[in-house]
Amino acid sequence: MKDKRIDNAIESINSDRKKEMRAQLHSRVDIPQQEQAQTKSMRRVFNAKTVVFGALGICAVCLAIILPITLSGTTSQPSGGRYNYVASELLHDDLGCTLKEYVEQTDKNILYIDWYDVADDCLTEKYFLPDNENNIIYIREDLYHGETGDHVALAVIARDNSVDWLDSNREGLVQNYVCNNTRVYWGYEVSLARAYFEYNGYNYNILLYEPMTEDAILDIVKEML
Amino acid sequence: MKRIKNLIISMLVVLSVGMLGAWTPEYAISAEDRYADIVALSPYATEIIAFDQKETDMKLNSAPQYKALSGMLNACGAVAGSEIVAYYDKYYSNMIPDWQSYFPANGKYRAQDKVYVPSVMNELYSLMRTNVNDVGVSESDFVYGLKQYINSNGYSVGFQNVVNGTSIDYSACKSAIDNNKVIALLSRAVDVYNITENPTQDSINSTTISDLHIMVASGYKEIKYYKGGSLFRTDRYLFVSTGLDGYGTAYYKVNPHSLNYAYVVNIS
Repeated sequence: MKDKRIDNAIESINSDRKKEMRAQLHSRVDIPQQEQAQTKSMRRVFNAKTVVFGALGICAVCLAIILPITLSGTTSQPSGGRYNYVASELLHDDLGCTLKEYVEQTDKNILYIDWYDVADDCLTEKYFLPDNENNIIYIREDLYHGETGDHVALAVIARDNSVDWLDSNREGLVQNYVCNNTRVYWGYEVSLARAYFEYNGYNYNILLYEPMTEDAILDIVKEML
Repeated sequence: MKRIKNLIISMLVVLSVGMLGAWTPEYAISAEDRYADIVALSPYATEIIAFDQKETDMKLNSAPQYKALSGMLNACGAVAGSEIVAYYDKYYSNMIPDWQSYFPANGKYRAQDKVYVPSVMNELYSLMRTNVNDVGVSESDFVYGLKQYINSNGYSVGFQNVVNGTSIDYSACKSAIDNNKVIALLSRAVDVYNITENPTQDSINSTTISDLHIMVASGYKEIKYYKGGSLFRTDRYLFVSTGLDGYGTAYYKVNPHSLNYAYVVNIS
């Protein structure tokens, strides 16, 4: 350790006489000449600032090369902050009754699709957070018309609440139609027609799978409103 | 001081090597890949494609839309398997004994009921060894479990993979769907899409699927977009039952694709 301290002390001096001073001091404290040469060569290689900045430079170059390639393969990230819940975080369970019955039981002014007389299949589910089944985030009802095979889904959510896929359902619905003073936004594709409107404190999202006509979904909305 | 210098140097070297090692330009499929629970997220990501004309080549076969039973974890293998079994129940009546998965009046598929579909899904969940060695299912467990179920009901099944690295045999996909077959898609993280059509523009909404997931394709759609008489874009999709809440169906883009495997399911 003694030789290191001496060498460090000498090294800190910015003088042309470093070599001479080192030789004098080493001879006084009996440090062999071989160690001096080794120490000197090691000091040149392991200059702290050079190594640190050099390594940081290598890291920066690596990141500059790797990150764009790695991130280009990732899927899109959410915009964030525009909805309260992600559908994947919600649990679902049978509501225990149809939406119509739920409305009658709770006296809430919620619209429903009145296909109950013609629907062979009716699935009505509530969606909630894992820790509170009684706090319903949204209700979804799927109705399957036995004769035509039509499948329509209605998802109802309170206006002050939001779930990612229900919010995004409004995207791309550039057509609109006014029914009973309510503006309905809707869109069509051969596999799925979609509609959205707000009514009396609730947001309504309607999905009509494999619609027979482009505006068949409007017939359903008109029946509701 | 020297020890600290050496420590800094070592840490920086390890960090550099680690970053280099993390760079994988092409996905290497591993036998240990697990298809399990994913986060499906629908961000506000809508693409508008404006065009003068477009040409569409498509066929959509009606298919079941199921989702995991409440409390069933990492179940995409069992859900996809149930959809495949229910799909073929229309053509092979003993696929789900004592139940018809479709409406005979129109051939469209029924809702996920509360008795028969849960029974099939639970059986497949077990046959596929879901969550046994690790979360979800591996590719081999998915195939084995589905095969076991189909064989037990008196039918044979073959799986024809139409993916080879970064390429997919789209013609083979179309041929399968034209012949009323479905394709099991074992996918990496990917965006799937809903399309809204208008006279001069299409809106493409995306849903992000965060990790390895299995879906069932029952249709295809190829769209060629033209402006000024020139073709400027071609999109190729497979139409899938996602096995997830939300829309339940979506378009899976295959040019390029994010598939580890795409198995045409052949029943006899």
